[in-house]
Amino acid sequence: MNRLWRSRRVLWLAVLLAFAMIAAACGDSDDSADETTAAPETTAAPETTAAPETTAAPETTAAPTTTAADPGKQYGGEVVVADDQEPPTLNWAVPGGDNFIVSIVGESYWAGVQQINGFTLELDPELVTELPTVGNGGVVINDDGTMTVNYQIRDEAVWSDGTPISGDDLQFTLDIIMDPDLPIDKTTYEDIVATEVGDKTFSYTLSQPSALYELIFSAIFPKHAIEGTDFTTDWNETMWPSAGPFVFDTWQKGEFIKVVRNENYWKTDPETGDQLPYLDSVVFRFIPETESIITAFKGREVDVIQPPPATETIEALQALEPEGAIVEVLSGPVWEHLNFQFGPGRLERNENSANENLNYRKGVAHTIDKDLIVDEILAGQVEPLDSFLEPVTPSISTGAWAQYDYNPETAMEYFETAKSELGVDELFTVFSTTSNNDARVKLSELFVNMFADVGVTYENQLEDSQLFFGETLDNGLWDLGEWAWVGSPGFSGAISLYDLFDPEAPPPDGGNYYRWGTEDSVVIDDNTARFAEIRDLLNQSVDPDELIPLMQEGEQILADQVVIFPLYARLVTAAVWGDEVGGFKHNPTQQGHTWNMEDWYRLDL
Amino acid sequence: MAEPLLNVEDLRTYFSTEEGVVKAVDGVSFKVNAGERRGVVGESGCGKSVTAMSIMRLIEPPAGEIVTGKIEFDGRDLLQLPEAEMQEVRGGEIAMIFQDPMTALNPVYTIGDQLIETILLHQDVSKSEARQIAIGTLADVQIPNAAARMEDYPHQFSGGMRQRVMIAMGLSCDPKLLIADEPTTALDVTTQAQIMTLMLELAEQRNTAVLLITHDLGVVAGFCDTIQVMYAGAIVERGTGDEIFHNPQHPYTWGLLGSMTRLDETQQERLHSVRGAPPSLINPPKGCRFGPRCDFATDICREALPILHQSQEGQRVACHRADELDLKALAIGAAS
Amino acid sequence: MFAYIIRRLVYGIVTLFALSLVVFVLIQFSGGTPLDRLKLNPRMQPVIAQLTEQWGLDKPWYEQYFIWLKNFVTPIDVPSEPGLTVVLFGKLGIRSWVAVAAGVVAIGYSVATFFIRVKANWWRTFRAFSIIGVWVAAFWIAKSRVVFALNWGESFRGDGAVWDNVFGAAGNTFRLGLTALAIALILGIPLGIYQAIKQYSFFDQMGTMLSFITFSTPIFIIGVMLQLILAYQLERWTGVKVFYVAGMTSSGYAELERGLFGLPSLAQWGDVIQHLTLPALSIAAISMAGYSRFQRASMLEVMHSDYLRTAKAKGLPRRTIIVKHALRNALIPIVTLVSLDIAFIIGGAIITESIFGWPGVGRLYIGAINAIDYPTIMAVVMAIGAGVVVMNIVADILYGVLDPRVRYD
Repeated sequence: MNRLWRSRRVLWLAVLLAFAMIAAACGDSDDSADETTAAPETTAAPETTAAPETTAAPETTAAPTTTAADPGKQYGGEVVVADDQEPPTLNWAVPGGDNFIVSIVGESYWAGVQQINGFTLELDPELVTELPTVGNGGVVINDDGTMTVNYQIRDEAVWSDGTPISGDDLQFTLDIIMDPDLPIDKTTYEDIVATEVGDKTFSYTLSQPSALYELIFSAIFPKHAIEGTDFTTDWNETMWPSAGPFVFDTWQKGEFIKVVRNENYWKTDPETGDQLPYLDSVVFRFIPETESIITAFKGREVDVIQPPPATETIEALQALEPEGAIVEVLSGPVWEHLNFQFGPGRLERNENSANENLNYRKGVAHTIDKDLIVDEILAGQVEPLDSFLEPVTPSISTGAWAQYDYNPETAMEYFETAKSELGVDELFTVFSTTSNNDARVKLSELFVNMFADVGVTYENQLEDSQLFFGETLDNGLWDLGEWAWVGSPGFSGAISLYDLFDPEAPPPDGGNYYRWGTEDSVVIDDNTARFAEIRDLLNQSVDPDELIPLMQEGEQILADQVVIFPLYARLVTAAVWGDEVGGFKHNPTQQGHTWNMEDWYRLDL
Repeated sequence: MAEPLLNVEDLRTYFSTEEGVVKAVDGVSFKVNAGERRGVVGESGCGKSVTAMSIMRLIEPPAGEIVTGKIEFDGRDLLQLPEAEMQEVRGGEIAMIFQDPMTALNPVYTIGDQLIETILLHQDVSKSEARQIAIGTLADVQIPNAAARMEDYPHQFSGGMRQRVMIAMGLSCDPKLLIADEPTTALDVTTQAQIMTLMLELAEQRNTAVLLITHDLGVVAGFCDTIQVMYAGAIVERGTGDEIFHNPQHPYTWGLLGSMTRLDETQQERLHSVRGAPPSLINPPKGCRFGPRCDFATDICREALPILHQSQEGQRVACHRADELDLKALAIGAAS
Repeated sequence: MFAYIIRRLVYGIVTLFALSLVVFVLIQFSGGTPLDRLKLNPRMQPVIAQLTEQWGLDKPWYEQYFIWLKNFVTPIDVPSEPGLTVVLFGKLGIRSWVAVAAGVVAIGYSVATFFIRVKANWWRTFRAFSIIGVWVAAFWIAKSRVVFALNWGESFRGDGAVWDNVFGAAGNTFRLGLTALAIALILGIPLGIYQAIKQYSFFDQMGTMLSFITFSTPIFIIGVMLQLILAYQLERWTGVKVFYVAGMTSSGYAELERGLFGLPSLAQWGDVIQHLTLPALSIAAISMAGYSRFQRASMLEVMHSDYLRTAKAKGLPRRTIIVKHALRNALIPIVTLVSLDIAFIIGGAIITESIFGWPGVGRLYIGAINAIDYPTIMAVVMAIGAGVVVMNIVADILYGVLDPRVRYD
């Protein structure tokens, strides 16, 4: 009996001990640096950037967040920002640093030459006194055909350790980007042929005029801190001295990143003259499930969210508005478009493909009911697109696709013409897109009826995104396709979109996946030739008076030839507890919703 | 005559099943005196084990229930005892040994643990004393190297050895009554005799009464003072060993004797046996329950239930025709 | 028994080898490459070319496999300046030393009991748990990277060394999974036992119904419902924040007062419990329902066994009969179930970790799969595979402790 009693005791003790040991060993270690949990990170959406920098987009449903009756912005407090991804690194210049979420967090501690203003969606100077243009003399076209850009750095701009930000830092940033061992995008930077470094000035010369200068140096590195260290290993998990409103505090891997006030921040509130930022700290929390993000927001566990803009999500969030939530639903930079394959691969999908026939393409354009699509997929929150330039640079766009109204009768006339031109009795269309995107699946369902109405034999062949964006896109193996691009702001952004139709740039090295006018294209004509010219001219000028007419001409060619057919821009949404946090303004561009974190303040202190 | 050790009166134990109420024990009365060896014989399902379980009050409601009856043990009615006092009786005053020694011991404790547990429960001794008692009892049941084997688990013993352990466990607290329910059935024939001899010797040394339950008349032959034969939930005949074996009064007893396996049997030919199968205990046949299987049944046997009464020969028997039939002659004829 | 364990480990290694080959081939032939996300951007072509070469993606798959395998088992240098002792003491907190010491003691006991013939139950028990001790110690040593680390490579997503990521996440998954297991055992087994003792009672019937409902509810639904009810609604009703929707600690955790010897203080434990309860419960719920059903059946079987009748006939009180004689026998079958359930709990953790923003292996794994980050995928698969192999051995040994009839040969 005694032994039995003892043995049972020991058994339980052993169980407890085992659990305690495991709990002890599994617990977060005393020094948080040991915590190296990685959290999942959904890779950038397949509709990858046409140009990886930032974008401006028109605001469709604006909800003003800065209340007029301001009780006065007070210092202190913490704001929690939730996102479904975690940055793989905090260094934008190493692999993984191109992830969108890196810039969301990065807004707290990096500064660059310019940033996109969330209210105006225009570029504002940040570290420089004014953005260089041809007009203000900041950009000079040299006689030898090169172009020089001059930056004047603000006198007050300092790093968080007090060191002034100087031209050396820009030069250092350039040197890092051009490091051949770093697998990062070197576009535009690689065209810099000469630089000139001053204490508070920096100028560089590009081998040819290019509007892409607008967006480079959007974040810079502190030479004094990084020089002499191992850039790729030492600066991934900790921030360098901050040039932004906050400095790095903690990164609990898989959970959150916390940043605290930069006491040396150089910026002041233009209205009040107060030293920025107002908040003591900001926490970025990473919660993979949208459902959970919304529950956490409802429970006020997090203050700012930007969930994927599903209709249910928007409705769930709007239901919280009476309690003080502010929900912003905007039209974003991601634009969905229908397109035709002109390469030989189309025949593998549809041996009767009629893509080469312009009247067929025009018929398709009149077949599509964009209003119905927007109603069904976006709950009618925005207007459909009439041009691929609309979401990005509406001031340039002429809305060239407005000529194609939804009209089945017109469509049928075009189809009849196409039939007689092609000498066929029947038209066949095979539609391909990704099967794991609800909106696109719905789109394919809507198309079934639209094409039935105009008497085209229509078939859906949807594919997993991995297959579609892999083999199918690489080899042009589709007939009628649909996916999205991300637009970019300014002239540079608009110009980069023209690369997508460049007859001289087929994949894999170029971006003309449609193979419109490429060597193996079924359509090579005066239009493709002219477009190639326009594309080259666009990349040789920075003068708006030259650029705008060229862009509009190109847009008109693409619309008249129905190379693509823009459908709609995806929504972006953000929500904030407006009764607790002031100063928030969602920025639909890739600048992200944290673009003006320094202006955020708590109302409930 | 002194007060009997055990006095069972009109015990009725019924089980509820989906088909109906099974009257497993239906009006059983008997007495066992101190130190007596009593054999209870009958086919499987005749109620002999249920009788034993009822005495131990191991019938678990709601499935089974003792509906009426009185079980007087050592001057107390066991059916009226509170559970706590009944626990004192179980294992302490009445011990029980079960049929299958392979499964009757808990496989996860050493036999030492299981013995000591019983001793500590019923005797006011220290743990080390209990251990000594346990070793002593194991030695009594002739387990070699008893002290070392205390640490062994049941699976390390053979069937016969395990039954010795069971006997040791039963007798370790010097009970007044030992109920042995088919103690040797699962054992091979040579072991059977050893175990029986050992058990009865030890019981005699301790002056423990034994209620030996078996389906095999051969086992009780020569061991028991009194034998009672059960059939379909009731006692049909009771008498001394001599009476039962040499002068059976009930045709069922006679049938059992005929089918008995005897180690000294020379006769190859079976002259008689009990035909048919035992009756349903849910709807027993009208009249004598043995009637449908009885070679000698008459009209009265089909009409009226015979009660246990003193026969002319001296033993008690429940048969309408007990006095008419000369089963003895038939039995002797069969045997010779 | 040691020969037995060694043989089992050899089988385990062979299994893991086969597992690695199958998974590697599956990743290779499932389409897509880790660089697909860059592909549509024409500007990234030079980057893609550079990374393809750097990661060896242009090599044939078998060559990639052998490179991976070779690296996977190759130790990498661990920092040893300024002297191993200082590094050990500098880097390991008191908790780690407790774990390591327990492991060392456990190994010592195992070796000692191998040479001394001891029959006592507690001795055997300790030996069985020593395996867990060794496992925990090995885990911690691996995590802290003090004694050794293997060259598991860098993540293709740019989030650093796979070794650190996997072991960092594994700690959090253990914390979640073991809490869930503990809840499931502590609630499920007594529930099943009680149901068996009170068979067909109202409580039994209710328990049965609830078990079936819980068992057939997807873990995702359970998680979301717990968040809505216990995190969101409970706070609305009471005005007090009891449980959190997401995360493992509050952002202010580090600022909370520390306990003695650098161990977490009560306030910090409280914060952890506020975050841990809901995800652990949602994983535990299904296992708990399963355990209670299984335990009920197993208990009923034991309750009708011969040796329990013996125990009753000995005059043992009902309590002793159930607790001592019935329970231990009834617990034997569930050991197997629980050890097999470890895999299920890890699977549950994969979903639950995403719902509750828990920084564990599940999140790591989903992220790695989305990015086709195969160094991480392989490492997670191998780590879980190794865990299952070890757990199966532990289960066999535990089985032997509970049931002396089990022999290892």
